[in-house]
Amino acid sequence: MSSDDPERDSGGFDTVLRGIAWTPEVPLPTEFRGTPRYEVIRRLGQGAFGTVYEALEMDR
Amino acid sequence: MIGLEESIKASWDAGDLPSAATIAIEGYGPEALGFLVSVLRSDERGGEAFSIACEDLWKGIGAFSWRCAFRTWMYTLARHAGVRLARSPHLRYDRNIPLSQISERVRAAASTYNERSDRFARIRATLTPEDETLLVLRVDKKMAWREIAQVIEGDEALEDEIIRRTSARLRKRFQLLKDELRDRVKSEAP
Repeated sequence: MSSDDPERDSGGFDTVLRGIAWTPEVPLPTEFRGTPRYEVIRRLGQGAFGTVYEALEMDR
Repeated sequence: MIGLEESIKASWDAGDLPSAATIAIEGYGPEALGFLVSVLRSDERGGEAFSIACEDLWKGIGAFSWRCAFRTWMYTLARHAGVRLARSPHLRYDRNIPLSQISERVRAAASTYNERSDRFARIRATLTPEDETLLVLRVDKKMAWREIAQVIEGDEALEDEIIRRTSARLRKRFQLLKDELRDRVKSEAP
């Protein structure tokens, strides 16, 4: 174990260090609902490269 | 049970790059997205950087050298995308990424943390992006120094000598950072 391994710290500092360094895992979105520019009308299909939606471009 | 790295490699070896990319993004995406949101301190910017990283992954997966773990490469792409975005504040990517949903999920995932650890968040907010990245990769993501060097240098196929030198520099910086944080925590103690 290396000398900079947080596990070697005593006095609870390793817990503090882990608290400071912690980042959340963020589940990826599974369903596309559109953006301000594109309004999703319906999902057309899904393949290996992704999902295809019929959408309305709002700027036009 | 087949691990994530093995699953990605099996698809890659079979020439099924779309499957390899999909498995990688589904498997490592949540932690990479959380990393970007934290380091960029913005769920929207984190989502944008994640989109860029995913696009880079799709474009580059065929040429991936496998000289490091795929997870390390995912973080290399994520960090590189985050740095590019931070240096170009007006850069916007118009793509099919539901940022509104990412925002909702980030807020849900982060709220518990924020409620219980305002103190940790306050200390972390004082770190430079470089120090914060180093701390997260080493302590939270438990990466080896070799992997961190590859992520920081932005190259998954670094020469051994460069990895050795970068690792040594990062270890020294990490030790100093720990000492600084220990002092700060002590000084803030009631």
